[in-house]
Amino acid sequence: MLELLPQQLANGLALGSTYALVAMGLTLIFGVLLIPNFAHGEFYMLGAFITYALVASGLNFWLAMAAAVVLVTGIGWIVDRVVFQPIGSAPGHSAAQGSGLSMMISALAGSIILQQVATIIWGTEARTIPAPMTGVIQTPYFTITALQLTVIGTLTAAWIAVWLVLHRSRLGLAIRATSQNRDAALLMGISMTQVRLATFGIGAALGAVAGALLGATFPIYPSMGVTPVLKAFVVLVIGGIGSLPGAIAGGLVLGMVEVMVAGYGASQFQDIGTFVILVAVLLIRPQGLFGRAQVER
Amino acid sequence: MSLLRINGVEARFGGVVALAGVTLDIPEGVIFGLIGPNGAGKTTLINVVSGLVKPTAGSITFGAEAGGPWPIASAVSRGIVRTFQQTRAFLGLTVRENLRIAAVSSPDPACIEELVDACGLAPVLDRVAGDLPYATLRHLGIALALALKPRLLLLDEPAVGLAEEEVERLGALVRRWHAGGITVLLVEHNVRFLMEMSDRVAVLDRGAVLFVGTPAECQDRQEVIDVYLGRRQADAAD
Amino acid sequence: MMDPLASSRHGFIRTVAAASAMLVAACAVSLQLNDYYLYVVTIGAIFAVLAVSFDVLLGYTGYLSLAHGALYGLGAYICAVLTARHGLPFWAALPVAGLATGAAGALVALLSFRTRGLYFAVLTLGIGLVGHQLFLVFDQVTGGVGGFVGIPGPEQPAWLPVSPVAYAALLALALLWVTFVAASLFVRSKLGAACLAVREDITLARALGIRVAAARLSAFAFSATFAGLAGALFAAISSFIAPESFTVLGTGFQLVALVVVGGMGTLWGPVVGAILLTALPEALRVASTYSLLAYGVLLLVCVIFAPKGIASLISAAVRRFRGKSKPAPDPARLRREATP
Ligand SMILES: Nc1ncnc2c1ncn2[C@@H]1O[C@H](COP(=O)(O)OP(=O)(O)OP(=O)(O)O)[C@@H](O)[C@H]1O
Ligand SMILES: [Mg+2]
Repeated sequence: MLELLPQQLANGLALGSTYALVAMGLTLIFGVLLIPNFAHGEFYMLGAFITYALVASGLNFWLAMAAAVVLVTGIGWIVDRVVFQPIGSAPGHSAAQGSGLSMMISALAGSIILQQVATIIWGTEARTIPAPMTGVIQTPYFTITALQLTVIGTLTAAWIAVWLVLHRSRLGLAIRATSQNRDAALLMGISMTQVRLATFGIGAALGAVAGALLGATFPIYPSMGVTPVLKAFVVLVIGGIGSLPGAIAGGLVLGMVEVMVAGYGASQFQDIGTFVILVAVLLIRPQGLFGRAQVER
Repeated sequence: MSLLRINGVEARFGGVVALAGVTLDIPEGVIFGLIGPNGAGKTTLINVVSGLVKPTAGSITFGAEAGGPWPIASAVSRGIVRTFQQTRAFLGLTVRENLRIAAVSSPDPACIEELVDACGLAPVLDRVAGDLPYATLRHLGIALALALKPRLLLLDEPAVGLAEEEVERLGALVRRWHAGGITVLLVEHNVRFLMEMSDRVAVLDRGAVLFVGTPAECQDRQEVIDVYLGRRQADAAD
Repeated sequence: MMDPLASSRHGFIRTVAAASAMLVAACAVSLQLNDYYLYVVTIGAIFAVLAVSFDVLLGYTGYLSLAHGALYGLGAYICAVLTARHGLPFWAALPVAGLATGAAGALVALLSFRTRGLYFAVLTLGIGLVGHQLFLVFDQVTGGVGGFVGIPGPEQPAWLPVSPVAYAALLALALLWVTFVAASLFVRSKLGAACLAVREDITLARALGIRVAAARLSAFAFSATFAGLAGALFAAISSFIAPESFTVLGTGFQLVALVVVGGMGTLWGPVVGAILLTALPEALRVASTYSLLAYGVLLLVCVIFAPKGIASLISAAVRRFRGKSKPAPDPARLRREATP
């Protein structure tokens, strides 16, 4: 049994990297804009499908993925404009109420709309993107595919890129200021339009990258985003809402736990195991493992 | 005979010490005024007594019963009821629905009819609370608390933002219910209103009790004038 | 002369009378319909049962649960197992399914109400997904992905000589009547007032001595019980059930759409929503791949432009028609957040 462990850790790391990519986008959007973006899984799904469509029409995988990222970023902006901004800006809605009922309902609506549009275009049957690389790296303890390695590498690159944007640019400063205190940020003359564009753009792009990469390994279908986005919410609960390192650590942990459960237990319980973790975490700490306790004033 | 005894209550939020060991005795049947500059800890004290915030140290005794503070539901069932500094009512519901909610845990729902008249709510029973004029809304907030027939009513700045004649109406309302046997802890920045209303006054500053006495004594004390009354006058001069 | 707590008994009697009149009318009309339209009536009524009871939780208490698709399924499978495997009559299985689902709902609520806002929705979404997975995984009991076949239909009394399809429609309409009356009772009760308080301002509710935990637990259990009854009836009259009917995105989401589009916080709004979104598309035979898309678009339009749904538009129209100049409550305020 134990000799399988390194192999499972490697597989878990690769799987967890995609969870982390999705969770990073979700945590950014929630942490900065207080938007519970249920439609985030659809960014992931669209990243996969657009890549698929472009590859099917003859484009190189990496070019297709780049194009998908650009397109999904645009879709992210549209979603923000159509689904979330009308609610955030309605009278009587303050920023602090982002987790409000109507925000969640409209996020749900956005998610369903995108899924159904994808269903109309591509149908419900599962498809696969031809793998862009087939290499396998053998080590004494485990084997890892070049694609898995790419996924892990992409997560690392994405983290560095997002960190640089957040900590080394004026826009990043504005984003961080907004996530600390939106009202103060507004008073300081920070443009909320720019912050929203950047946050949704980065978030959607991260989702699209994850979708394209995972679509090269697993089948893709219009409702494929539901489980990952839920797992990303689990990651948020574990890692702390709004924390990028938390999203990455949480995503990796979740990926490894799932691979272990599937490896040592029954694979049909893999998803159930995830939600048992979710329930357990929320039972122990209702505001999330690293969430701040809120006090009524 | 004291109704509420606060023993060395301390409340910290992270590094902020909101209450640094407060000890106070509130006799049964008085209107007890509490003043202090912004951030002195007045609201926190009400939060502790009403069970909304757990103190980091200290205890309270209510009537003959020690072992407080109690969780908010048990505090209410013992007769400790509070209002909020930013008026709170169920803004999306009509006044009637608001009162229906207050009646749920009221020991005597029949008293609400009298309250409706006293608080001037009869003409607006079917209006949505959020559409009420500010002064009416404040009265609704107090009516919701009074509907529970409290033994001790904690009022957090009830007069803030009210015009002079509205303050007088409010004072009359509080006096009337006080005469009916309710003890009142009144937190207020409107010093004149507070001094007129109160039988006893305490001054809180940076989480500590600076002074307890009658309104007349309070107005003569130099340290009170320094931390509070003086500042108020300076504010007014601005 | 104006009792501020104006006993709502009068209003309740009027509601029951109106609901009964509607029931009689609907039954009379149904008996003239062919089998296809009877099926439409049945499905519409079952979804109306789900929507009305779900509104007690979403509209009156302010909590978005995504676990109700699975709870509906739980009721269906309990009924299926009891009648098909253990030979229980439908009329015995129905209350068992309702009560057991209500108990399961209470358990879900105990877990979920430890969290709030977004966490609550996420947790119930997770529970809904797990529930659906469990229907698939425990295939010895449920038949797995292939479904549960051969569920006996409800026994028909001899004194009611109508076709089984018509009988199913009558049963569904009767259950809708029961649900509507029970929900009216609930929202007019002290518990109902407490639920409104929880929705509007949970801190103030606590400060006024409202037992918040009991209120929202009973709202959740109420909605789960009726979801279980609806599921049981659905199982018995379809004779076949499969996990795909009880997904989070299918049924769970559909419920949210029915209630929000119809009108949260009114009991007749969700009935209108169910008719408009379930029965009407079926009757016009436009139900297809586009129906979920239409749900999504309608839901989005409603939540942005008419957060109190079609019901609020209808009552506004009625008010204008009657020439009453009572101002409608500010819609923005009604949209305010449910939990602090
Ligand atoms: N929930 C909380 N979390 C963190 N700090 C708090 C909290 N509640 C109160 N404080 C802090 O405790 C101190 C006392 O606050 P409190 O609201 O009790 O003052 P106050 O006397 O009511 O002031 P005001 O006259 O402005 O109402 C302040 O520094 C405040 O920032
Ligand atoms: Mg205060």
